[in-house]
Formats: sequence, C-alpha cells, structure tokens
Amino acid sequence: MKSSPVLTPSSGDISNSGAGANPYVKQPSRAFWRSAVSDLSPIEMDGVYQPRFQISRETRISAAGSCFAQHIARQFKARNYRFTDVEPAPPFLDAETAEDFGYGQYSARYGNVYSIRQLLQLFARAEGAMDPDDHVWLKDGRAYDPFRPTIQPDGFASLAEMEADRDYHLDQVQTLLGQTDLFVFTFGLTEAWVNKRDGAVLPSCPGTHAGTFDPDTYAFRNFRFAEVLQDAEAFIALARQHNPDMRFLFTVSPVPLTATATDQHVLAATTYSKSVLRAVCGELAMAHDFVDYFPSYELVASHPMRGIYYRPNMRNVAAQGVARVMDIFFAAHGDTGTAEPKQDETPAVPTSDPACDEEILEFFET
Amino acid sequence: MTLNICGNSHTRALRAGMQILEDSVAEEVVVFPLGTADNEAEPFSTIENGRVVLTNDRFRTKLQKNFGFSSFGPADRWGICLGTHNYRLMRSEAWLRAAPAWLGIPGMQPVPEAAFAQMVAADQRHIRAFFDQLLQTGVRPFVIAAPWPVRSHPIMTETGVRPEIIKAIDVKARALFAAWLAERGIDLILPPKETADEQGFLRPRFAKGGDDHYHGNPRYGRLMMKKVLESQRVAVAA
Repeated sequence: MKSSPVLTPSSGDISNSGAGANPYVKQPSRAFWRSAVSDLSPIEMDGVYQPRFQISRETRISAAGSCFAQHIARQFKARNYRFTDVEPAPPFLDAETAEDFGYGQYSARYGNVYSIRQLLQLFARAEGAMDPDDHVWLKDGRAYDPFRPTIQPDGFASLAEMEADRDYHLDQVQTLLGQTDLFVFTFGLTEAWVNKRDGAVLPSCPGTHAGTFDPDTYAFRNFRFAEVLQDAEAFIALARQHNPDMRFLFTVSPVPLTATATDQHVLAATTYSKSVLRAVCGELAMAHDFVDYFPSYELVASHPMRGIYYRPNMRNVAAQGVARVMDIFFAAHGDTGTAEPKQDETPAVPTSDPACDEEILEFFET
Repeated sequence: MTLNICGNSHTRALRAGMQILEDSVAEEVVVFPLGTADNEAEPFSTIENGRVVLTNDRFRTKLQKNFGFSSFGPADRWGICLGTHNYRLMRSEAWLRAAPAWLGIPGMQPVPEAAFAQMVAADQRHIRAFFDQLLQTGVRPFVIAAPWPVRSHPIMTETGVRPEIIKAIDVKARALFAAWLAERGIDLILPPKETADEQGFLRPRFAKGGDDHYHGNPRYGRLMMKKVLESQRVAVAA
C-alpha cells in the first residue's frame, strides 16, 4: 500500500495542489516519519524531545527508578544541577566504594525502584503508614534489608546495624519530597514479587540476592495499566502534598527484562511491560500539565535506532547511547555543556553499567 | 643485631623515650622519625632490585641520614610506627552528622562496619602496600602503634564531634589494622594500658600538650619503648 504524498511538508505545493488544507499542513517536519526518521540516520534525529517546562539549576531535583535512572541522576549532578541527596556517602568513602554501597545513585540510598508501587510503598514506610511483614533476611550470619537487598555488599554485620541503617534511611526519605521541585522517575518493570500477607512489593525475588522463596508467602504480580496509572496518580498526589508546585519528569527504561516470570517469551513480556509503562507516562502527561515525559525509551529501544546504542547483548545500553540520550535531554533544556564531575563525586559518565539488581536472574537460567 | 625503629611523627616520642632508657639497654637501638603522617597519604615506597626503597623524598632522605640505609633489607631488624595515626579518618565535620553504626546513635547517619572497613583500607592503602613490599622482600617488621587519641583535639573541643565517635573510629580502625597485620604474621604493639584514661583517650600526663593534640611526650615514649623492647626481648635494666 502506498502512503499518501499529500501530508508531507516537503511536498511544498500542498496548499496549492488543490488537495485542500488540513491540520497536517501546519505540522512541523518532526511530525512526519519521512522527514523526521526515514531521511535521517538515527544519530541525526532531531526534536525528539521538546520539554514541557524548563529545568533550571535552581530547580531542586530528586530521582528514583530502575537502574537506567542512575544515569540520569549522575548527569544532573555532574552538570551541577541542584540535585537533592538526603543520604550522601559517609566521609572518606571513595566514589567507587560509595557506589558499591548504594550511595549517590539516587536522592537517597534506596537502590533501584523498579515500579511505581515500590516507590509509593517507600514513602509510605518512611511516613510510618506501612510496616511490612518482611523485616529482615538473614544469610550466612549477615542481615539483608528485604527492600534494599543489594544496597550493602554482603549484607549488614548484624540485625542491629541493618535496623539502624534502615531507620536512618527512612527518616531521610521522609524529608525528600519537601526538598524537591522536580521528581524524576524512570519506570522499569511491571513484573514484581509481593508478600501475600501485606502486599508489600519487593525489589527482587526472594531467594535470588537473599531471602528464601516460599510460594506460600510470595506471589508473582504483573501490574496492569490501570494499576500502574493509579499508583502513579497516588504518588503524584502524595508528592504534591509536600510541595504543591512539584513537577514530574517520567521516563521509561529502555533496558529489557533480564527474565520474565510469566509464561510469555521474554521479548513479548518485555514489550508488554514497556508498553504499559509508556502508555501510563503518556496518560499522565496528557492529564497533567506539570508532568513531562522524556522519550529515553524511544531514543534507545525504538526500531529506527536499529539497536545501535545497545551492547551486543541487546540489553545493556552502551555508554555512548547513554551520553547521546542525556545530551538530547540537556540540549533541549538549553544546556549544551558536558558533564564535568566534581573531584569528590562519583564520575559523571559511568565507568561501568549501573547496578541492576535483576541481572542476577541470568544466573538462574538452566 | 641493631634494632631500627622508624615511622611517622609519633616516632619522636619513642626517640625521646629511648634516650631516657638508653643507658639501661645493652643492645643498640636506633630510633628516628622519617617524617609526618601527611606523607602516608600518597605512595611512598616501591621494590627495586629485591629491596624496598622509599620513593617519598623526605622519608628517603631521613632513612639515609639517620639510619645509613637507602633501602630495607631482610638482614635488618625493623620496628615501624605507621598505620594507627587515625586522625585522617577522624578529622571531618561529617562526623557531626554521621556515626559508626555500631554505636547506634539515633538521628545520626550510621556508617556500616563494612563501609568503615573500606574507609580504613583506603586510608591505609599506601602503608599496607609498604608492609606487603617488606614481606615480599623478606623483611619481617613489627609495628608500633601511635598513642591513643588526644581528648583535647579540636575535632572534639572546637568542631564538636562527640568523643565517643572519635574513640569508636580509633578503636575500630586499630582493630581492622591489627587483623590485617595478623593475617600477615606481623605483630602490632599497642600503647601501654596505663597511658589511657577511662574513656580510652591518652592521659594528659602522657600527652605532649600545648598546641600539640596528637603526640605523646617523652614519659609516654619511655613507657612505650619499654614495651617495645620487651616484645623484642631486648633486656632493659630495672
């Protein structure tokens, strides 16, 4: 089937052709597949992102999300934006070790937050509205926080140490929203494991990093569009209680699932997951003028990009891809500078992939 | 065989103490500092031709001038006063908001033991490299600890960091270093117990005093050197 030639602005004689005026005539070239995609190489694509609102260096920015969100947080810091970190690394911890211990990845030491339900739950715990049944996971004499199982390499030295660390962490998280003008969240997954008794969502399946998998206690959940949207709306409402002017920047991680717990092929499961998350972001942006969507997913994962920004495993995003995506983001905000890490901070351009908890699932493939 | 003792500025008190003891010690004991602890914060040694040489100018010059050596060899007997000068770890305003997790101080950021161990390892990395080099080249050193922390240090009296935090940092850092040394069969000689007060700080009568908030005085040096010599089975007349 041939596509109609009358819609493209490059056929400049539309208005005189007798084809008649129509809304597409006034559309910019970026609205047309041929001029915006077909005629360009992926790295030439322009105007993919047009910010809904500007972000200045005075904007207090907080971030959370799946592992791809670590790139975004790093870039904000490296470019000297006012990035909120309520739980910075203790003194004398070098940048690499601090990252190993989960400091500086986000605005607090909460590790990867793959679902918006997990994010909601985090703030509910911080405000004392939720006290999950999963208190501690013990393994080889070490204590693991079930909601941050990888935050402390090899676990905490004791239950007391873990409790002290968690109490402090949640105290800091409680202060975060009050120090935020822009909350950046990268949606990662729809698949999750929950405790059947209280519905608490865990960041990783018990029995992988730590904990013991008990089918009577834990159940698999694959969140649906309505649930994700409802959770996102609930988070927005909660956040704006703390700051009524808070704005939100949502993205979807282009990193596919490491493994699915559904009976689907992992590719189909990934497509479901990312489609739901992308649709929720679109819905939120259409519903609220204080919500912006940055198409990091499209800039890496969409087929016109030909997978050039993925590593050979077609899962991890190469550093060049991250840099390109972030350059597009900041250029759209009028910042064409490069990321310059402060001397005492974690390098802006990561020397390694961000810590992705779910990658351990590859280990369990038989 | 001559017992050689060198190290950072804490060696000065050992030298002063040794001068008091000198007439009652039958063996030759040479004690000299190499330089201040600031020099430990960067690599200061390497192996050349199977012997450990000092790459730090000050350290190298002092070693040559005071001991007549340009390197450390397996035939020599060395006591080294390095590795427990923990002020680099303590001297931070960050300890106003952070505390070692094992203290369980409410409202302060808990620093987990494992993270603290990483901090100590990073702080001591050049010192540890030096000791590993000595072992690799057949030198069997022993280590002499620095005095207990001084309670009048400005990090507590002026900055306002809680003394129990400073003490906890010092105790844990010493324990971690001692364990690291023990794994390598290196003895660590701690300061005499009587030099510590009830809280574990250096008793004022053993501190150098004045504007010096780090070092022991000759009285401390004498006690510490006695303990060192006893550990090395060097006879000291009563």
